[in-house]
Amino acid sequence: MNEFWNLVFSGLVTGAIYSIMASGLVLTYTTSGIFNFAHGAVAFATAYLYYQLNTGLGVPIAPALILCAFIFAPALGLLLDRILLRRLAKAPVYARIVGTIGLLVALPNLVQWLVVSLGNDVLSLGFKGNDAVTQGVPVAGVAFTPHHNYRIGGVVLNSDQIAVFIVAALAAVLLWFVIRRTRVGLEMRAVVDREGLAALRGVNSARTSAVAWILTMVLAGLGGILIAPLFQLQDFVFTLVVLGSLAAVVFGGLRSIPLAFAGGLLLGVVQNLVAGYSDRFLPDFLANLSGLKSSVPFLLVIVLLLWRARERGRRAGSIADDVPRPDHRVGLPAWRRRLPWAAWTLVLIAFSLQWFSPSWAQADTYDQTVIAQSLAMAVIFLSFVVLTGMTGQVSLMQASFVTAGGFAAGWALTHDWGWNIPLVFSHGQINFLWAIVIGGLAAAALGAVLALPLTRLGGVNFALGTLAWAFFLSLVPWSIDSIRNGETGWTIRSPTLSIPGLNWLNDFLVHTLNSTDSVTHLGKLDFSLLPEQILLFLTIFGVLTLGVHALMRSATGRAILAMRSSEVAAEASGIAVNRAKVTVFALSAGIAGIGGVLLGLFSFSVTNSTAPPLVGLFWLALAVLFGIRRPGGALLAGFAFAAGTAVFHWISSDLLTGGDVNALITSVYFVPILSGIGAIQLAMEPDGILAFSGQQKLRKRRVKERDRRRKQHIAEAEARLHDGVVPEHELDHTTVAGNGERPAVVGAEPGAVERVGGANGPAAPPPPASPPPEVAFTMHEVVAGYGDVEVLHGVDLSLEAGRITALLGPNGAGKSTVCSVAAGLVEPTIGQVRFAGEDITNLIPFRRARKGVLLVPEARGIFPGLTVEENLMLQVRDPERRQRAYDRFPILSDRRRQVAGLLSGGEQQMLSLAPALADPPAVLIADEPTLGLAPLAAETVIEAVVELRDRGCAVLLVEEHARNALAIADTLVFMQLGNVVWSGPRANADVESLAGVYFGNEG
Amino acid sequence: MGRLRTRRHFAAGLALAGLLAAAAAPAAIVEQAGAAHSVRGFDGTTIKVAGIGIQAQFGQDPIGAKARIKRFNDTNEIKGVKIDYVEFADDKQDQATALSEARRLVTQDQVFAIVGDVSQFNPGDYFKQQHVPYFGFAFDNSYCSSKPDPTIWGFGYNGCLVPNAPSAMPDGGKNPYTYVSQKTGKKHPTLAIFSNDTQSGQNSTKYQQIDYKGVGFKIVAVNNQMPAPPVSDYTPYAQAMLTADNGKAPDAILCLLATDCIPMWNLIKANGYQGTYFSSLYADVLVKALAGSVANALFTPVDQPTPGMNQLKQDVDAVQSGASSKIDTGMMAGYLSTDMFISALKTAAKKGKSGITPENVQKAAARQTWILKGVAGPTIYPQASVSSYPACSAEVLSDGTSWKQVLPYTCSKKLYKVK
Repeated sequence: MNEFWNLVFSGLVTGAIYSIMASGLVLTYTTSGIFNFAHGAVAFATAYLYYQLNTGLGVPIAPALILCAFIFAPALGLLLDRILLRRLAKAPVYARIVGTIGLLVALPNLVQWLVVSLGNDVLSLGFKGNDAVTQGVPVAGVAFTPHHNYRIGGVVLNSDQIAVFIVAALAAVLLWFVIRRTRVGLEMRAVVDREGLAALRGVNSARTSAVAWILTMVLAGLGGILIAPLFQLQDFVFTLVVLGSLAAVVFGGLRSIPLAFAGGLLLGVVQNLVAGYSDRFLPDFLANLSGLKSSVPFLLVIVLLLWRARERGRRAGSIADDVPRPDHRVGLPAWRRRLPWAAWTLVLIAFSLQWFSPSWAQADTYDQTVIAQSLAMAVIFLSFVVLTGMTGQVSLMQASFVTAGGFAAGWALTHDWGWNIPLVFSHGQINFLWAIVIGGLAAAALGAVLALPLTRLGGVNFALGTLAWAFFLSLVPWSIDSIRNGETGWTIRSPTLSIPGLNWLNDFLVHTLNSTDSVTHLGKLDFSLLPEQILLFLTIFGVLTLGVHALMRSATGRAILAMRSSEVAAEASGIAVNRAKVTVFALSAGIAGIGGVLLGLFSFSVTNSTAPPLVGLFWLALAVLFGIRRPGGALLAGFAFAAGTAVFHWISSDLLTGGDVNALITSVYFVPILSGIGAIQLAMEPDGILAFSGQQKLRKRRVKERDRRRKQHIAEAEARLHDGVVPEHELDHTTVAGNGERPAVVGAEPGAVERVGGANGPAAPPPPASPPPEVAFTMHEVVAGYGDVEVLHGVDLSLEAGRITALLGPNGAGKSTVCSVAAGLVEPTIGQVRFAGEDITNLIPFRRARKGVLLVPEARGIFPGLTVEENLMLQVRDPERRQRAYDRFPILSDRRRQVAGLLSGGEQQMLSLAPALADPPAVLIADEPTLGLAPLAAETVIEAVVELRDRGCAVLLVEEHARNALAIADTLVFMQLGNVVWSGPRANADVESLAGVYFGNEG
Repeated sequence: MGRLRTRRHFAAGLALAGLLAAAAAPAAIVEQAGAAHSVRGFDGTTIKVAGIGIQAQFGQDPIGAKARIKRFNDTNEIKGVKIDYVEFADDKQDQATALSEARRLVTQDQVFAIVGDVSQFNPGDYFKQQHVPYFGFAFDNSYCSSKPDPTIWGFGYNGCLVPNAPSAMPDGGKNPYTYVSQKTGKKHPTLAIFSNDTQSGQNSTKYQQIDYKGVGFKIVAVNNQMPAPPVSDYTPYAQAMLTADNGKAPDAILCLLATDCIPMWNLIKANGYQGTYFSSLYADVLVKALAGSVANALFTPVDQPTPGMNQLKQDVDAVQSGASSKIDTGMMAGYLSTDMFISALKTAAKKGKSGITPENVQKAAARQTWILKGVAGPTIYPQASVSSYPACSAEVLSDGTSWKQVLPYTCSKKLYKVK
């Protein structure tokens, strides 16, 4: 029994650390959509600083802990949120996954650079040296040193382990308190529940995300300081611990912090029990399989993913938001698109093969080495382009396929087949080109098998699944001696080929054209030589790229694109989504496998450490950084990967020699810091550097186009004002000259419907019957839309306090877009939005909400995951006013503690209007508030709207079915095809004929 | 139209692939001449060498290498020939970086040889192809072959440390055995061996138990279950070790890991272990962490006042004053492997300057018995290409502030057959 409790307690120590890490990951993922791979790096940076302060400078435990975990870590969180994470939150899913990978490398090196290179070497501040990191010297924790041991029954716990329990418990209480008991916690949960709605309810999601990041960083920092004495102070260990906690994250469904916390503890215990008892229940061959026990956390990730994450809704959602950005080259002929690439390829070949004599135009052997490596890597990066670029899926296991391809080819090349078949085998050895094929096929087959269980998962879940596979493969199968061929790995021997035509071509390219070559013609292709390797790699890259292009244009390619924009729709139109996914995944795996063979040829052999799992993450980050949607991006990424070190050597040894600057730059910690810049660049342009210049061209073109359109609009409007003659200077306004010059509301005579801007010229405004009511909100000449699609073509609208304006029109008239512009969800390209005499055109949604412009969006404006009380609290802080809302809708009072998602449709709509009734806003925009409600419920809603009007609220009521609206409206606005076609007091309107004309007698 | 064009591209691709495959000749390993016209890295007066490895961990490696080179140059060990230590390339403990840095050293710096190699990822095949002899710590098994190999290009001052599939194991357990049997007075003291949950861990326990058993230990447990991080608590594994001898603690515990030996030692010590805990972590920076445990030192302990050690200290101080007080594994690796290179170089230079080629240095190194009296060696090649041969070590005990020699540096040529 002692053994059992030992395993359990020890598992809880490991588990408590998993819990802390997992809850941090969940917190940031739910509030910002970013999966923070740099969590371990933050933990390391904080722990490192703590070590340097505590052990190095002798700062006592408590102040050092406060300084690091409660000042440094949160400040880092705030800074990263500002410069990086806030932008990243809006990026496509693949960018959100890889966005923090740059930090994973940059942060640990940054703190070491600051302490060792700057603090000690240059400024001599007397920090502790780096022995803890480089030599494995143990570091002190927050517990007392020397250790005390406590014996509980037969279980011995030392003070470090007890410190882990205490801090984990504190972290859990802190998290619970902040999330459940504070205002910002409530806002955080609202953002998690419905981010778009949260903004409409006045929640500043940027602030909640910043708070979430700060909290996460505190957790990471605390976790880091705790881990340090248990392991060594090394960043990769911290990252491994974080990745180990993935199973707990998945257990929490990537959303629930309490579940993730519990999952962490459970994971630690399960892992220990498996390690302790597996020998007794597993068959020998499994029990003796090395690495299997270490891979338990990763196998659990797969199992839990299949169990917890197979929801169709999420899968569809996570891919659909990934809309490809427009290509600036649209409209260019194919040859024109390819010309730059062809030209640069020719330059590259001429340089590599030394065709021209000036020495700067010739690659030396080292340059050739870099080029060959770049091209081999480019093939690997191409596999990312195929998968992520085409399907939007993110694979974090491409490194495993590189290894698989290399192993398979290595085995095939080393194996004595005993056959002699022309073109395939000679002297029992297989032809190299067939080995490439075998490498590709083996990787593709593996890819297909591993992808099968994961295809039901979307976005981040899929990515986590592949990461877990990568670790499993590396720990178990790729470590078996018969598979990896021992520590040495499989040798990829350099082939020689003799092909009559190609021999001549090769001789011509490599030797005849070479301006310095004195070598006589070899008469065959020898791939141990760099020029031949370069040509081979380039050819394979080219063939694969052509294949990818062909696939993209084929029927399969179109099916894949359809699947990417909407999986559910694609499935409905008869596309075998799963089969297509598996096919593309296998194809991408195959390309990675071919890349593995080429990399093996370049590196002479393939071992298990040629492409370890974490490397796959960096590769993906690099591929995304340079452009994941086009093969050209893969080529650039390949060059960046291989040439990085070379360029750095050139800078540090040739450009900056000697002195402090050199010491700081040649520091081993310096280059990795630069990857942080890559992360920032990625956040700025998630489509990659390749798309960067293109997007800028496109932006310029759009600004031009917008300018032209704006002038056209103004010209039309001014023409109406000036009777067709527009003086040139009038076109320089941003809007048509101010209110009053031209009436915003065009009256209509009974029975006659006039179009705005019709040939008859402006009509006179209706004479006011009473003193003009106070205008609360106006939209003036608003042009707006989505992307390149213009929906509103110059809409005028004004809402008056204490009046209901009904916005009527058929489907697609632009009513919801008017609401969105009013609430700030869509920014107008031209025109002005004013509220209480103030220009609010550029004001973001939550600020408008706080000013008193409230949108009750289409469908229900509630947070289904929060309780009724919490829903109200979010907008109505004053408990007395909340009570007023309950008094108005007693049914809500009865359900105060119930989750809002469980209310009936009518109750939900009451809940979404209740805050307005408790604390009436200046402007209420209600988008189809009665949609889908039973007549009785609809009546209650209409009553509420009328009540708000009577209390002085300016109401814009959107109704597709006009009857309800007509009954209570004071003013009517009819819209059609993005234009206001009639507006005026209800009394003036001949509703019957208007409806007849615009709705085909529907109303 | 799109469909048609697509097909044409496919056809072109297939044709090209087919053409390449069709006339392929039998593949063969091509030996590219490393020195076709002139000798790489030797211009008749100066030999260029460089180091490579993990800068962060073995940052003092260049001091050792430069110290030995300075003496070579200052005392004209080969008349008219100087050695120039060009740089130490940082491989960042990454395989791809190691390969590209090695290729840069060879193709751009044009080095004659690598000395003070402390990389774990030596591109052995590349060095072999390019005829680059390399001398170092021998962390990886590019230094190893399955039988004595006179064509090997990598030379470790202890020979091959991580054998592939050795047919015999050297007598590495001899000194540990002597120490424990003296301490306990037992003829067959009990020993538990542990390593981590990897194939390499499994291999190391598999081979190490052969010579430890052969020398007289009674092996009571062989455990290669220590999990890698993220598991953060080793208590159950420590408990298993402490009860390995039928519920009792064994007389000795051998840790075959690197710095992971430290947390395990802390747990074992905390549970009141009185036996001997062996690791290979002989390093001054770890002396406090390993207080009470014994380390196998693969060279004479630094505090021993042998003439060889005194010369070494004098040499390193000449390069950087005060360096002799902070000698570590990195500095030793730099110094010892450079000495090994110089020894082979001298043999090659016997035929005059024309004999100074990488090929001749390789030939000499692959057959030399190298010794630095009072410091390290002998290491007998080509047998040492299979495993450390002969097996040499000193035993040092940490008292928490310094390592004390408990058994002096001795060697044994005995071999134990692997069945």
